[in-house]
Amino acid sequence: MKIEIQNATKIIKGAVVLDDISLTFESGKIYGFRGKNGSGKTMLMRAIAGLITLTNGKILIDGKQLGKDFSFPESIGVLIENPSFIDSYSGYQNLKALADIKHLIGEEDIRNVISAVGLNPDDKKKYGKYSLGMKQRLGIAAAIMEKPDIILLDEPINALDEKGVEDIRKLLLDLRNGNRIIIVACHDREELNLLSDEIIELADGKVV
Amino acid sequence: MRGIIKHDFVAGCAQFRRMILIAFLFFVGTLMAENNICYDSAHASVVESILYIFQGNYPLAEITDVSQLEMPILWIALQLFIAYIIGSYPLYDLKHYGINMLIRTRSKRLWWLGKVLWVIATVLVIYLIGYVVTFVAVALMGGSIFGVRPDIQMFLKVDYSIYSSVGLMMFCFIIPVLASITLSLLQLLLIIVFNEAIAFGTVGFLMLAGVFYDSAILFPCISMGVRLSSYILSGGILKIIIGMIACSVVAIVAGAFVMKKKDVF
Repeated sequence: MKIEIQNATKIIKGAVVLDDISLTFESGKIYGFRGKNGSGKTMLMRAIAGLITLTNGKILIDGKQLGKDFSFPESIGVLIENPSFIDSYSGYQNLKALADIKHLIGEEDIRNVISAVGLNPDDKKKYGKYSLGMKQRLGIAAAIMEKPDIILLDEPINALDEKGVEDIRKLLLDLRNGNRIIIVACHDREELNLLSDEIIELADGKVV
Repeated sequence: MRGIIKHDFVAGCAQFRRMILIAFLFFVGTLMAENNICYDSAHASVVESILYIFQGNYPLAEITDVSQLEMPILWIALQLFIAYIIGSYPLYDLKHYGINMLIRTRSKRLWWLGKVLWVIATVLVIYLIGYVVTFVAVALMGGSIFGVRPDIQMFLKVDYSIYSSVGLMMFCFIIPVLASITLSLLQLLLIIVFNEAIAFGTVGFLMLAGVFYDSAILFPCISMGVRLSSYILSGGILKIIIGMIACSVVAIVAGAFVMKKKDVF
C-alpha cells in the first residue's frame, strides 16, 4: 500500500490551508504529523480520507487518484477531531452499529477492540455519560476495529491518562506490523518520537 | 443504506424526544382551544378539528381592510416547529457522526439519500402524531370522525360540507403533508448549500410572505384551507400536486450533486 500526495493545495475562502505539499507514505510505518494549531495537519488528514477535495494537486492511493477514481479510500479508519457517537447507545452498541455497515468483523472482534483500548465491553453505560478519556478511547476503537489499511488519528492521546497513552502506543505499534499505513498527529513531542518511524513537520500548510 | 437509515432514525429522532412531546401538547392544546371557541353543544369531528389547524387566512388581495388580516398562528407554529427539527440535525451529523458513515459507505450521495428519507419520515411522524391525538381526543369527547357541518363555516371560513371525501382528504392530509415535505426538502437543500440559518430564514420567509400574498411560488400557503378551496373548486389541484412533487424531486437531485462536491469539515 502506498499513498502519494503530489503538489496538494487547498484554498478555503482565500486562505491557503495546504500549500503545495508532496509526500509519500508506505505501509508498515507509523508517520507522525507535528505542527502548531492551524498548520494543516488535520486538513491534510481530511484530504487523505476523501472528506475534502484539493484545489490543486492529487492524492494517489496504490496508483488510483482519490476524488477521480474513487471518492473515499477503500479501507480506512479515522479519528479526526472529537469522536462522535450516539449518546443513547453504549460503547459496544455504537461500534456494533458501525460494524454492521460493512460486516467485516463480528461481535468477538468488537469486544476485543473495546478491551484493547482499555474499556469494558460489557459496560452498559451510555456514551452520553462517558468521560472525555472514555470517548477518546472509543473513537480510537472505532478507527481501528476493522483493521483498515489506512489509519488516521488526529490527537489520539488527548484526555488519556498515562496508562491509556501506553495502551494506545502498544496498540498502534502492533497494528503497524500489518500491511497498513498509520498517520498520527500529536502535540506531544515525546510521544510522537516514541511512536513514529518518521516525523513530518507542518507549518502554515507547508511541509517544513 | 440500511445502516444509514437506522442511524438517522436513532440519532436524528432520539434527540428530539422532547420535541415529539411538544408536538403532542401542541395538538392537544389546539383541540382544547378549538372546542372552547367553536362549539356549543356537539363536539367537533376529527375532520373539523384538523381543518381548524390548517384553515389559514385570506391574503391581502382578498380583504378590504388590513385590520381584517388574521395571522394563522397554528399553521405558522406547526410549520416553524417542523422547520426547527429539520434544521437541527443534518449539518451536525455531517460534521460529527456522519464522518463514520461516509468513510464506511464511501458515498456522500448515500449520506444525502439517508437525510432525504429522514426528512420525509420526520414530517410524516409529526403529522401522524397530530392525527392520532386528534382522533383519540375527539373519540373521547364523543365527536364523530368524518362529519363536517355547514354551520362550522363561521369558524372555519369555508363551507367544507360541500366537498367530497376526496376533497376533504386533500384539505386534511394530502396537501398539508405534501407541502410540508416539499418545504422541508427545500430547507434540507439550502442547509447543504448554505447553512441552517439561511435555510430556516428562507422557510420562514416563504411562510410569512404566504400569509400576506397568494402565489404558486409561495407554495406552503396552498396548504391553508381557505386558499386550497379555490384550487380544488377550479380543478387546479392536480397541477399543484405535480408541482410540489416536481419541486421535491429537483431538491433531492440538486442536493445529490451538491453533496458530491461538498467538503466535510
